[in-house]
Amino acid sequence: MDIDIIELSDNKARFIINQIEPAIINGLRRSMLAEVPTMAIDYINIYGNTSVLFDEQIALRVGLIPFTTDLESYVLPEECDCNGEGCTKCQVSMTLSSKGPIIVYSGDILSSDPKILPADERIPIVELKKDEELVLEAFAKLGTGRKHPKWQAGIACGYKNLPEINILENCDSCGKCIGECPKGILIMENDILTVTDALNCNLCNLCTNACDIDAIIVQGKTNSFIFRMESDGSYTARNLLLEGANTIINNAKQLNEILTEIE
Amino acid sequence: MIPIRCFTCGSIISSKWEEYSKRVAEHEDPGVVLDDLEVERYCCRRMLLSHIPLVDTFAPYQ
Amino acid sequence: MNRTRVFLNGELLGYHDDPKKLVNNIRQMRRSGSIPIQVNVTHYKNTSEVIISSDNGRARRPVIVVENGKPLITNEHLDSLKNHIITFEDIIKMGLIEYIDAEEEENTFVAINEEDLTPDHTHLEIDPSLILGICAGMIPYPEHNASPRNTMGAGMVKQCLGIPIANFNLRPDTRGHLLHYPQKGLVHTQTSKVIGFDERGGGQNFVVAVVSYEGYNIEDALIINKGSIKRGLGRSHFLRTHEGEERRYPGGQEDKFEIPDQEVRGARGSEVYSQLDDDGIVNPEIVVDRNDVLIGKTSPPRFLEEPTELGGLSPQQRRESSITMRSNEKGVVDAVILTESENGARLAKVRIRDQRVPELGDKFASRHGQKGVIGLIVPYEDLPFTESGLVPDLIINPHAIPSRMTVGHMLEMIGGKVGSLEGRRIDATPFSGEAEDELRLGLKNAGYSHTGKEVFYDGITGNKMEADIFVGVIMYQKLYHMVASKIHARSRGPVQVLTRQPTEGRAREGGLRFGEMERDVLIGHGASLTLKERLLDESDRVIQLVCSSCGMVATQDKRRNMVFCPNCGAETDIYPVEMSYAFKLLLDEIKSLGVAPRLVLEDTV
Repeated sequence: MDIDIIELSDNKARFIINQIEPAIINGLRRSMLAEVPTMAIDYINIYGNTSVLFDEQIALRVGLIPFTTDLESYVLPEECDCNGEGCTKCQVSMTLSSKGPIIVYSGDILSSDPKILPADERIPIVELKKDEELVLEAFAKLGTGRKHPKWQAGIACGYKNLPEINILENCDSCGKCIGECPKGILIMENDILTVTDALNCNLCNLCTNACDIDAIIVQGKTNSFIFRMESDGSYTARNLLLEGANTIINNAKQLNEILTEIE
Repeated sequence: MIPIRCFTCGSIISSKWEEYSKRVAEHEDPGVVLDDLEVERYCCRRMLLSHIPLVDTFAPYQ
Repeated sequence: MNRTRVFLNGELLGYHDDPKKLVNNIRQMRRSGSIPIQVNVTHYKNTSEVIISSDNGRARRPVIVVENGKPLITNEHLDSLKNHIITFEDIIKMGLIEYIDAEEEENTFVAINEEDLTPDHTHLEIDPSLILGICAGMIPYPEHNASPRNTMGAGMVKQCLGIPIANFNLRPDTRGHLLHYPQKGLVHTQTSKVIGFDERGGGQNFVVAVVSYEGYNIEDALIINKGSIKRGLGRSHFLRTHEGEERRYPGGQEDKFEIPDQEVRGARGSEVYSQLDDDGIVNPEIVVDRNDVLIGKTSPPRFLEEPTELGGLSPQQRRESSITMRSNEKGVVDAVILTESENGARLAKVRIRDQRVPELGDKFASRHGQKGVIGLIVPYEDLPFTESGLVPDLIINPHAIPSRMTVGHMLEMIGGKVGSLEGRRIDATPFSGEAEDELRLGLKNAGYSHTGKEVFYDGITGNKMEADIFVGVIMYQKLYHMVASKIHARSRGPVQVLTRQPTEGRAREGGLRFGEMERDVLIGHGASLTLKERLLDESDRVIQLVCSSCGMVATQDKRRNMVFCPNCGAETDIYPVEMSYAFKLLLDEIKSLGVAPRLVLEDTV
């Protein structure tokens, strides 16, 4: 297995990964989407809400805000010593208090742990008009995307097989396939059909359908993929990938323990 | 209010709403504004394009 | 005699020899303003009638007047209209556009486009899309749909949830719905823009994939993305207002809002009233469940005094008549309004809100008559995904398309995708919408296949799907048929007073009717005892004691433990007979006519 990074930034990454089965790479994708724990608000006490939104609407909005996550200091409520009742090891308390006229942003949330903060401070929660107010107390807990998408760490993780475009010798340079390609990666250079950017091919096969003499073949290379991932801010892209892999390893370890116990 | 996350993929689009609506009100092309704000997938693009801001509509009747 | 009869609003006025001239004159006078514009006149040659209508209640639509193959409206008129020099009313007064009702349309020959005008035409459509009304005007690309689907689509536009009115917070509507995040359709029509629907929104744009998936979207069921629902897609609130009035009775007595005392007749335990405030009414933001008391109310006794068994009269207590939640609803108290009714009595209205998150059984529909009920909610990581990580919100079954021929649905999907990619809204006004070829070109320019299909990978196994899947963005509406308002079950429950059969209707915890056709089914199977069970044992079975000599129902005296027949005395044989209470009721009704229905008893075999 080897990896070729095409693009890496704080929140996004795109890389080519070879010699890996689709089931494994899919497992990594699913782990990043739904199994890596993140911090999100799970319980709120609303002391005052005179805004245009109902309490339930405010609750959903506040719950969807992503928070930076520190897996060292906190545990999942199910695994906590307090059995999920709520203690400093499994939850962070926060408050939000605003009076209109103002737009309440996620950055206005005051957290009791300076390391657990909203990943994006510019998320508008609600617009308060004159004399309207919003006062609430919130508890953020760890959770996984499987339980509720507010805890999803990865956003829109997907992959495709590495495209391989082969132009055979019997190509007569008629150029019919060039117009068909939506990505525009086929050009005629010195009367020879050439591919400019094979990585951009989306395997739609419009070019092969247009060719009358089957002179162009588009395939996805088996066990080689271009993977694309994005983080919602709770982890950096690099850490999300590592955590995704770690979660699979931990789950496999747990399974191993259970199986050896049965034996 | 603009939904916090895109319904389909979950990316945070609400923080981009203010700049988007301001620039569109100044008659910039929405497609260009969306590209500038790096809203790439069409699921996220439709969230900003088709949102109806209703806070001002309801506010007088609170 | 072939003279033409002339009617005005259904009344025969007289006869006329030259109907064509008469009708032309009337029309000319209407266009010039000599007679009111509300008059419409029609000439039926084959029945020799001229019908003139001037009454109210006729639906009419405007069309441009055409004379000698040329429309009376010219470009100068249109320019003056655009520059606000003249108004639409002025154009009507000038007789350039007239309103035609359904009857006068029989005499018109309307051209749809200006190029089609011939000297035979009498009128020209202002715009072809005005053939359709308001609800049908919401449908994008209706000219590509089979007409029954357009009819159904227009019907369902009327059932969609959205924002009914801006001041819903101040109104105590008996039933109301509110969609949390309405969106304007990416593919829209001119009609929706003109009536202001875009400012309120009646649905949301869904990313829809057309593929058979795991068999859960058969027969019009829909598969929906669990992540989308939990992020707010399709979420709505249901508001219901309960009302209680302090009625005044003749004699000076009146109801009272209060926490009923324990001595009041029918009072339940004091915990039941624990959520009420001192004035007997719940406060806002209290969570209420089924059968909870919202307004505590006591009413005066029906009769002031009633004889007791010991002789003498005893004063009666007040009755409990609190307003409670319906037995199948729950929610949070949203608002309490205290006001006065028309009679000057105190009136309390309590509005309850209940959040409705889409669940299995909720009905959704596109605007093309493609309705469906949620059949499966799939976690977002299990859904098929593309190379950019995109998953669909909704998966519909391809079998829903060919027999229904709703090509407008497919075009809207492509249009919505192009609109989101290019950053604009697509105009799909009937007869003048954007052409399909342009939309496909737009797809290609954005880097997607012009077929609208994309390469998908299975979310569970990770393998590439063999076939490319058609995916697009289309406006779906949430209809108010939600399963939480419909789900109903009963094993035993209340019965009607008159027939002792189970009550009817979900609100009264009723039973489902086992009708005539269902009875035929059991007869066909030969399941006679099952039929008896359905119709007798589980319904209104009763055992009546019948006197064998006179055949009438006998009396049982429980006190002295004796049965005797009132007609014959105590010596006759009295046998118990199993019958339905409805039959006993029939016997009573016959008796009331003065006819004696006597039962002839035989031994059971």
